[in-house]
Amino acid sequence: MILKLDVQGALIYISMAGYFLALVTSLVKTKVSRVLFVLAFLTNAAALIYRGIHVQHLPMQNMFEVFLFLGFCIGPIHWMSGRLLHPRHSAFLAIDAVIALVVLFPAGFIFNHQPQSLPPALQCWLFGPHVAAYMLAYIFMAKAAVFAGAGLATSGDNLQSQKMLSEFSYLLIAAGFPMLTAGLFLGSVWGKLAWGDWWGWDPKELWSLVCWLVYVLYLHVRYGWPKSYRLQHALVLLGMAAIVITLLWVNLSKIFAGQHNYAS
Amino acid sequence: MLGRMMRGFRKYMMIVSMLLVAFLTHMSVCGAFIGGRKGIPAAKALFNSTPMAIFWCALLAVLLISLIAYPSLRKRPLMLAMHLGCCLIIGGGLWGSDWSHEHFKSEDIPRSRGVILLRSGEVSSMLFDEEMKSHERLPFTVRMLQTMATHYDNNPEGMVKDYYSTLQIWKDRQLVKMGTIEVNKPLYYGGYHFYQSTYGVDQFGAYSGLLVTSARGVAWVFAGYALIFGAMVVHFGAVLQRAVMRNESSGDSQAAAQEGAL
Repeated sequence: MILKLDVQGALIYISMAGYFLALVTSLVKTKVSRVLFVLAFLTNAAALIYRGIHVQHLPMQNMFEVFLFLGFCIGPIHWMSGRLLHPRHSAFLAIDAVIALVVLFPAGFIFNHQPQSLPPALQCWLFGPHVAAYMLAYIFMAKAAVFAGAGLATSGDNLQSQKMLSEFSYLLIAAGFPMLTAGLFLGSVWGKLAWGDWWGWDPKELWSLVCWLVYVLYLHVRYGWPKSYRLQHALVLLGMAAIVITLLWVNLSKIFAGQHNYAS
Repeated sequence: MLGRMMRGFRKYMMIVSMLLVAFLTHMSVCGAFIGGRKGIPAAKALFNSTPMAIFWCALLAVLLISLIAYPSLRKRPLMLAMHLGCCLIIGGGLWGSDWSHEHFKSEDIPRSRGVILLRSGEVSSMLFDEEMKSHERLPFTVRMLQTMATHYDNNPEGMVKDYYSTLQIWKDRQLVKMGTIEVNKPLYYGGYHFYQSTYGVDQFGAYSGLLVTSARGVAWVFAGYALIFGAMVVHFGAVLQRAVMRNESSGDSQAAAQEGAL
């Protein structure tokens, strides 16, 4: 555990406290929780901007910056998915506050925030769009996984709930999957520009492909067997597990050494 | 009778294609572990092996057969574009693979990739493999005019900011191409891309290692990606737009029902 006793750390902790209070108040005072959620998001945005000014490049280089950016993605996705699913349901705000706390915790307490210069390979216009596409996709898929988990926990006989949870998951994946594809596409173009190959068989690339393929399977199961709710929920959770491995295990363990190691 | 047979065939094709995707998912996990333990070349060798070449051809064939067998796929241009995009990526990947370069050699593109080591003022037309054991002659000559590195001003470790090499390409005693390459900015000539790959300084001065890779199949792959992404944005964009409109029109009654169900 690393406690960050500086402006950067203070902004992250204030944002986390805001999300925590939004979570606690979401079930009783929804208006207060919405205000707290907005304040927490703005503080997270301030932490990201502060980081960008401090390091003088897009703050998406290492795990600390990536998790800070993941936290920032929660706000826009919360408002977008509100329009998609249900604009005023307090449970959605609580879910997003929990996801925000989960992704900001490593930025606040685990990852080192020592500033680093960008290595030559990362000085490319594709750096921002490639990482941002993946991060936005990951948050959409994380939200979809929450509903899929709820679907698996709900009795299979309750068809109305199963159908609704499956529809929520699908809509979030419909928003996230094109971004996952964009991340893969931009990564391939960048790989060709930087390393000479659009596909390098690097462990991180292969795990990214695994994520994409699991959602491809999910979409085919949904189109081919629309009432197989439990199988669909299981595939959404499997996709999320692949994302967690791609984001964390591949970067943090020494098992998957490869060309993406600068993100560690 | 024929209709029933076609329905059965389509169901069978759907299951086969999903099994192939599941197999690729499994192989990708295996490839990630192999790449992590034995190095990326081992993972690359696995996916470029003859059994995997057969698998890629089978996947491509199943995708193409699906386009013919499923009228619903042909009637939906966006779905068709997504599947055609996958075909282009697999086809382009096969055409640009090491396996294809080995089996379909041409004089202009003698190998899929290689390296050229040069100092300022030196020329070479020899393309070595990455272990520098064998080489092939390129149909043109590369001259290195200058190579250099720049460093960050305020970095205490003297971290390199970028590497540059200014190259000339000569063919039949004529200058046909000239440019400065750096990391993320390769030079293209004659079906090859030239990359700034390695850089070093010894007692004779600075030298650069140029990575030279074939561009065969790359345009197909990127066209495939663009097709998939474009079709996805339009298709899923419409799905999302319908959901927003449904939410707005159904109003509070549906909202209350969802709240109860949750």
